[in-house]
Amino acid sequence: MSTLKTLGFLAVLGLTLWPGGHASRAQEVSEYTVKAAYLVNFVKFITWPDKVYDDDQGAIVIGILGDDPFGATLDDMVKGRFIEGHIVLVRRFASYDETQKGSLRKCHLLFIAYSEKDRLRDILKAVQGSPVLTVSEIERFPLAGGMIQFDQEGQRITLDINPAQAQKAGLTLSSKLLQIAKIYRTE
Amino acid sequence: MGIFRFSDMPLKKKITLIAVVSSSVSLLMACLVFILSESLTFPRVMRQNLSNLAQIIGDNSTAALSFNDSRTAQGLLDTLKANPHILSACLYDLKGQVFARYARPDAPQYWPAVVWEEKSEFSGGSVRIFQPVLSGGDRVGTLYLESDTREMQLRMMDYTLVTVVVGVLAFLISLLVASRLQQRVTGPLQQVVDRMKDIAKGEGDLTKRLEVTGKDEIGEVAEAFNTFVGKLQGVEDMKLDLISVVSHQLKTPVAEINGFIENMMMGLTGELNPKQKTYLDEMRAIGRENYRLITDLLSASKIDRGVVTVDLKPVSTKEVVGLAIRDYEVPLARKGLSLELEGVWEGGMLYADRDKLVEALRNLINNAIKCTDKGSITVRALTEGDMGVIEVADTGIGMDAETMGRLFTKNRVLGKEAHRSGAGLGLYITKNFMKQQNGDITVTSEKGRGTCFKLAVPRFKPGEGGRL
Ligand SMILES: Nc1ncnc2c1ncn2[C@@H]1O[C@H](COP(=O)(O)OP(=O)(O)OP(=O)(O)O)[C@@H](O)[C@H]1O
Ligand SMILES: [Mg+2]
Repeated sequence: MSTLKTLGFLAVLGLTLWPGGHASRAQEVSEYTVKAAYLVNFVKFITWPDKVYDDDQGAIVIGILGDDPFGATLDDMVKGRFIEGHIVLVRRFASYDETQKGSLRKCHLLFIAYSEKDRLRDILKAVQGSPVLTVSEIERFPLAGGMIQFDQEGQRITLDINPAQAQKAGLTLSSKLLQIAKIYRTE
Repeated sequence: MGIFRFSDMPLKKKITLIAVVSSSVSLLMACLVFILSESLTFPRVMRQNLSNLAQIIGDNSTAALSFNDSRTAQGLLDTLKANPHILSACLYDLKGQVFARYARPDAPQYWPAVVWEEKSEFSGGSVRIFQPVLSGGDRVGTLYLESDTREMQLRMMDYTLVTVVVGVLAFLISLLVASRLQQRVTGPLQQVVDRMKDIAKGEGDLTKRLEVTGKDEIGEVAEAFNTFVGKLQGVEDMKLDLISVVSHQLKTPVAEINGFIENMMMGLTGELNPKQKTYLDEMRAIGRENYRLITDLLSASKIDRGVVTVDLKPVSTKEVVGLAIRDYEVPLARKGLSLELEGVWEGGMLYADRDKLVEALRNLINNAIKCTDKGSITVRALTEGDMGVIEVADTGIGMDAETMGRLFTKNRVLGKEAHRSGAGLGLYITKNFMKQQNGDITVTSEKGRGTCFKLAVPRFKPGEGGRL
């Protein structure tokens, strides 16, 4: 296991367990623990239009669409935490169908699981025009009209971002986030 | 320069020194206070600046830390190259592991272990700070920065240089100003001192007064001094008046007594027995001496009061010498001295005040007799160009150089042998009388051999109004 990866999940561990997180609890942490932490971290580097906080007592809603790879890890991470002054709720959706459209559009952040690969075009169309940050592991996601894709560079989990898509949805991505990501441009 | 003593310094140096020292000291104090306060505030400012920089770097590295991108973090730290004072920097992750690091190429490649608390310290010529990196309120790492203190040192050196330059300039200016100002204080004072010395030496003219330039202490001194000199002059005038009145009042009675003594000696009061004759002889000698002394006093007081007048007329050398040597047979005979006259009968006409010239000559003959124990006294008349000269030479005790130097002053303790010195007025009067007659008196003498006094007055030139 590479040093970088160790450092990576240690950072995540520290983030979730802080204070006291720096104690020696170096254990194998799964890829999805890191990705879950990244999902939560996105909240800090993205600005949503103000009005979207009106529902759910101003909570930030993370939606998981399809087969959830995170499990309880994500729930543990957001439980009782305020991020940028908001509580974070996790909503899980079964495989996509038309009826979910309204609920999906109310998410701040939508993780589209690998299981939804074939329905991707419909899903993206469904949330188009509302300020939903779309995140996925599906290859070429940014080129397919998505915003952020989890990618891999050796052992390290990296980000591929299509900022134009985010901008179209009315989201502002922090330049700091763009700095560390691989940028994709469509059009 | 020997031992330096403030009290021996001239006043002008004192004033300059005081002004320069006090202004320099106050300036130096001001500079010191400035430097001190700078050196106290500068570390705080440095710490603050470094902390601000850490804030910026930390803030920029939040995404890199959050998404585990040490390459971006490294790039961020590398931008510190632009700041030449940053020695090293290090980003630690939440585990305290080094995430990215930077060191100036010439600085030691050393990064300390993480410190969790916010901390800043000065040590070994550098400032180090540890600062938590926060993202959205959550801690994502720690940043360490180390900066050298060269900027502070350079600033301090600048301040020191400025202080030295300003100090030297201020010193020079205050020296200039002080030496200008001190002249206005010491100038008048020096004038007062000079005048006081002048008067103290005895040559001082009591009629002169100091110029009073201001109302300050020096002005007051000058004024007080003027008052003092005025009073002194009053006393001097009183003394001269007293001498002149007393000698005038004494002159007539003494002359009368002398007349009576002459009469008795001429036998007008009948035959005198030998003893009476001897006594009268003594009385006549004493009487004449008294008369001479009174005349001298009167003359001296006239000289001092500046009221001597001369009556210049043609007079023959023969007449003057004749009148002068009168009455000296007895004293000469007593001491067994002979009186020689040379060229007197051939001597031409002089243009002089007869009585004054006679008195001058008598003073010389008097001295010669007094100061000669054996041999002769020669009165010689000759001409030297326009001047007629009468010399009185003796074979007496002579004089040393010191006596000769003070000869014509009113110095009463000139004679070293008591029986030869009198009131000490003779030569003083003689000198003055000769001057009044446009003449002069000179002397040559050899100790133990004899003395020759020489009186010179203009010769009479018949025809055009007097002199030759
Ligand atoms: N011919 C001389 N030979 C040696 N010493 C002389 C002679 N004439 C003057 N002096 C010295 O000079 C002094 C000053 O002479 P000066 O005639 O002025 O005063 P004085 O004779 O002492 O007193 P005064 O003439 O008033 O009676 C004398 O006391 C004497 O010491
Ligand atoms: Mg005399």
